[in-house]
Amino acid sequence: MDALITHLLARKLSGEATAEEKAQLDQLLTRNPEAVYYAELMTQLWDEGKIRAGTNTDAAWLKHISRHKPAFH
Amino acid sequence: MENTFPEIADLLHSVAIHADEASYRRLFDIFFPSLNRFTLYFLRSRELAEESASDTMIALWEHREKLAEIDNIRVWLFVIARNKCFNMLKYRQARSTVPLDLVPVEINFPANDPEQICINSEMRKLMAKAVNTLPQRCKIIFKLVKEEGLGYNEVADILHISSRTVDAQLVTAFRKITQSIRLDYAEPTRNF
Repeated sequence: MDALITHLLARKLSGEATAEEKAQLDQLLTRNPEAVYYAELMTQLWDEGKIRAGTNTDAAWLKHISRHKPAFH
Repeated sequence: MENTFPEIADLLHSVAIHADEASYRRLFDIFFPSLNRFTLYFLRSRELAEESASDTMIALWEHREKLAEIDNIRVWLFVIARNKCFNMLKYRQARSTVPLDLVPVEINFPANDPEQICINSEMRKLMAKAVNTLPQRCKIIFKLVKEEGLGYNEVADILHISSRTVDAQLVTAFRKITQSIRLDYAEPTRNF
């Protein structure tokens, strides 16, 4: 994949891209269908790792307050 | 993440002013899972990783009267976690010039989501392999940005590197991953 597209895609997915960079990426992708394929797969891979909020921390919390008992009164 | 949890500022305030344990518990819910994943990259022992994350969280409680002085609580916590890990790994001398390349990191990919038909299992394996064969420093950066949603500047602060390095390392990661799934029938990629 084109080096500039790779760079812009990395910035876009990580939330670092400016509006100009996003527009530039879209522009480049319309002229580069092969890169669209890679961009799509990278986007999916990226979103898969999204950390789901609401992990159950009950057990960890109990261990935490027992480990650091003196810190709480 | 700050956007996902807009109440962080309020919670920190309650902890700082009223030593409110319920607010601290909520902050624990928000930050502990991330910190535990982070310490696990370095320590590779679930028990040690959990203890380090726990010891990191308690620093927030113990510093509650000075929380207002902390600019970015998430970066502050991650830096403490990083130092705890490196101390444990006996890199005491080298906190600011961390030999990140020596730190083993594993990245696990979640099970396949049947809704997503574009990435098949073969591709997933290739991509996972590409990620896991990245240089260690590159892999940690990739993971912090991708999985913890940290910004380039935040990762730079946590790892004591420049944000340009973060940018460059992510590009390297992206390049290696896309190379791993290059279409056989595609024309050779042109790099001008």
